[in-house]
Amino acid sequence: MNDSGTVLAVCTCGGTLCGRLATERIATSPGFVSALVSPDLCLPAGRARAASWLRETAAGSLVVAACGIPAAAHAVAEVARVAGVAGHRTSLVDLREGCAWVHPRPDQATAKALRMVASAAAGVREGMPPAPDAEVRPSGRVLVVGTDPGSLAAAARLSELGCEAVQVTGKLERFEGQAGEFMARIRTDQGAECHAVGAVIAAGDAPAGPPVVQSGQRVAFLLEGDPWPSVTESTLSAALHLVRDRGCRVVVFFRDMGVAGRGLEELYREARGSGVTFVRMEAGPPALVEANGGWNITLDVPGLGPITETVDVLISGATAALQGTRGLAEVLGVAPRKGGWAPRERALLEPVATERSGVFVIGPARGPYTTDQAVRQGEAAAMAALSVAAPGAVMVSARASVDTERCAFCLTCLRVCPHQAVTTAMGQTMRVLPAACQGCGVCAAACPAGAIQITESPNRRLLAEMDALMDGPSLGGRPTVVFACANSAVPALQAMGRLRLSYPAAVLVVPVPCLGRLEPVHCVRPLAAGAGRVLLCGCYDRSCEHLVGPASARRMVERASALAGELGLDPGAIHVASLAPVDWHGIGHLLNVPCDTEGSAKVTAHATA
Amino acid sequence: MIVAQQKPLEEIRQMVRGFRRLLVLGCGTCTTVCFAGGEKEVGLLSTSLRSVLGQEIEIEEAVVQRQCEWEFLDQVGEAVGRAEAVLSLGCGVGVQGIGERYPGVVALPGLNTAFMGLTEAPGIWGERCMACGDCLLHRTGGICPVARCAKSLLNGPCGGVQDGHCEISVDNPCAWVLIYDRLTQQGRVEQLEEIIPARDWKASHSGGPRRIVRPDLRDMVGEEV
Amino acid sequence: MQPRESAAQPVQRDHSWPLAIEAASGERVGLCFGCGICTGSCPLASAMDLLPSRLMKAVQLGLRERVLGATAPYLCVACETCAVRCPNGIDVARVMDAVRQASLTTGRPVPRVDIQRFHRWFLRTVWMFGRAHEGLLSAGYSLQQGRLLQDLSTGLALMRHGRLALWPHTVRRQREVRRLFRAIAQRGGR
Repeated sequence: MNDSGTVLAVCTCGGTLCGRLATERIATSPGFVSALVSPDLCLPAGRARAASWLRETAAGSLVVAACGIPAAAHAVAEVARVAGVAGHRTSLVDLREGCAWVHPRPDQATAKALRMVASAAAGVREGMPPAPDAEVRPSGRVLVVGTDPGSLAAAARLSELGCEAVQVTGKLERFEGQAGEFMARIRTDQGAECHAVGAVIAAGDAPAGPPVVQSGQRVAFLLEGDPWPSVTESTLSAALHLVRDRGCRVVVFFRDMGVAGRGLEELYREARGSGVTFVRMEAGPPALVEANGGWNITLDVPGLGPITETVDVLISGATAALQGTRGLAEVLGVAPRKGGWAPRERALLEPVATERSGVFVIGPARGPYTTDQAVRQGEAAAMAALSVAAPGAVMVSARASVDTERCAFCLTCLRVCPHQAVTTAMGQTMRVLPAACQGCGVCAAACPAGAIQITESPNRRLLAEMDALMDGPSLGGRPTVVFACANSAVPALQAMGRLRLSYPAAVLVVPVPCLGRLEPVHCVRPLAAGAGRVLLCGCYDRSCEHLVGPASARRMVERASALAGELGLDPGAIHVASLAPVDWHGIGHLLNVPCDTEGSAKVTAHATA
Repeated sequence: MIVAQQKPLEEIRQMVRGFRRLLVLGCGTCTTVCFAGGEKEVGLLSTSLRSVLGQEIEIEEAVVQRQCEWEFLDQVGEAVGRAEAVLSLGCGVGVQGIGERYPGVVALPGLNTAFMGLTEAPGIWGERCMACGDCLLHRTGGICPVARCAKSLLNGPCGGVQDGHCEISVDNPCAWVLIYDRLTQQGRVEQLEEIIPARDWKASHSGGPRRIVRPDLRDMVGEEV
Repeated sequence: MQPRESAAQPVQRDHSWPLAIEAASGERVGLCFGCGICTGSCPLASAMDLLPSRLMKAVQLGLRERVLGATAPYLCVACETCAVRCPNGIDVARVMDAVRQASLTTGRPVPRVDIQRFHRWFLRTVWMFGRAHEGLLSAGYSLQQGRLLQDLSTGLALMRHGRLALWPHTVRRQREVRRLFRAIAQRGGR
């Protein structure tokens, strides 16, 4: 294997970067055995030139300083492959959207670029080879658990598309494996059946029908939980029907009447106009006392006092998942949300997907539903499941790997992984399932022995890059280190670049797959090296694709701040901020606050707002 | 590590009497290392029980990495499901782990869990720690008087030292002699002049069963949001 | 759902009463969803014991005694700002009117006798002269209320501005006005 050292290729983007950065100075950065300046690394001619130069240098590591568009990453990968440089020994530095376009002063931009290049060089030397490819052989079958309309629609669509749908009605007892290769055990009246499937579509128990109402009775509807359009619609329709056609007296107790849906507003108005009484539960839930075969419902209405409604029939909107559904989430390895439904709603997930690849949840298990909603969900799940379960072997490399010599078998990685991607292979070793791992790094941060790492960015590499970034020519101010989450802050910063918005050159960006990947050492080390502030920019709790990123980061920052205090550093200098994906406006605010005590207070206020 | 010893075969035999299907479950960590409950011991014990009990009983064998983690116990769920009783060759923690995870099956202890100690020499294990919860080894030259003194005295030996040995357990050296010798060797013997005051034993088991909670390590994925 | 003890004695309700108010006012009380814009725009809300939006809710819930015992309907000056602003197109002032009428016809003590008297004096001068006579109205009202000199400066100011005439304005067809009064009286109105 060739390894004459590390080399640097600088792309001037057709010469446009020359006016904004001292590209020659960057090309002569120390630590590289050879450097190439090219105007067009993304074009075929430029790529070819770079590849032959790289081969000649016989280098073992490559740093490319170019732009931030996806084509650049592809170009780098191709050049490295052709020239025989391993992928984990290459690094792409974005000098355009990430430097030249956002730092208007060329001297500061150049200083920043020099640091970024040095950082990449330090990082490639610590590159970790990826885990060996593992073969995943999807079984071509999809398990459909449930018999509600959604499940039936899913099974029908799968059959139409030529995929075998295994539809079962029993209870899912055990479920393990990874997308493409799951093992499911179902308990039916006849006993237990095991199925090898590529994906699962789970619906849970369909709720039993509402109680029967006779004409002329007094009926109360009680909607205690979060408003669901389906529950609102069915309640309003039912209330209207009972009042209009069956001569009933109807009262609806509700907490929120969310009618922002097609036809819902009109339905609500019609119901009110027809004599349905609506009572809002402003001061808490009502007291319910059974009386004479019916119910006395007493509620305190602020300003008017306690009122009691005597009814014959009480119909409760679904407030929590049925028992069967609660257990289902646990068996599937999907985190439940309040009420026992699954999964947690996540902005970046597809509508029927969950945080576990290959597991789709629809209909009753997802929340209260109407038939047409369930059918749509079932069909969507069928399409998504097909892509995961389609037969044909796939080679997948796990994004995390375990150093078995360091591993103490404490099972922490297995427990903290939000995607059910770590298993013990019969207690012999910890294994990362390649089709399940999403490379978030939460396991790496939690492992007490540093045994499990994300291969793209093991701890050694991240720390080396950070240390090099903190050391270099002046940036015109005290550095702020920003850890940027791949799903929110990184695209936001890219957008700032494309919009030619600026932020101080003293802001040093360290991309991470998820904030959950960070440990106290990552936060404290920059402070010890002179940074004025450390900012962790990531998603909101409800948007984190990995479920626990921001919460885990906040917990960690408490420890990091305490540690900083013990070391004589500023314990108030580390903050966690939440952003919507691609919120270039929000991150612009955060980054442009000056780095002084007043500035820190503003960041805190914004971050906690 | 936790050191344990297998119970006499006769006692085990009485314990498993009446069960028709038994799972003998070993532990791959501490009890393997002290040769009481690892894979080989499971095999040997099962063979002995089969020869003594014959047709009365069907015995299945298994070993898990540790019996003190739910995930490892989950791996033998099917085998446990087939058994009426599980004879655990793990420490007392393991037996209770089985009982908590599988309350429908009878969990039996195949070992007597003895102490926390180290391997003094191959085949010889000695008690070193009693989990008193308030370690004072920095004051006694690294030798624990709570565990190694039969009376857990804290300020020097009692009057019963005989030729450097404890009058109560004559095979054991007197802990305070050991402490004195160690500190002298280190040139720190004047440390003995500092009186260790009467202890608050609440941190030890005398204060009740203990539990440690680390809020920063709470499970976050399982919380309902 | 766990049954719980209720905190206090619940209020009496009359489930047919909202329909009666709807019939009397011609307004669909049920349409109100409690946004509070009527309260927000009412110039007299700060003086009311039962705010317009709460009053609407109380009518919906059939809390007849509570509503009929409130002084709020008497304070309503029918400026109709609430009606203009209501997103459901409910004329809250008309509902107030209907409630006021219900309050007067039930034989219970009138919550604001002073306001009722003011209205009576107004009607009296209309009956007498065919048009309201502010001079007689204010004099008669003040005397009845025992407010002899307190409003004198206001009265003088009004006179100066031409708003308070000493001599009543009359109409030609006095008799027709009186016929109106008689017709209403015959129908049971007061």
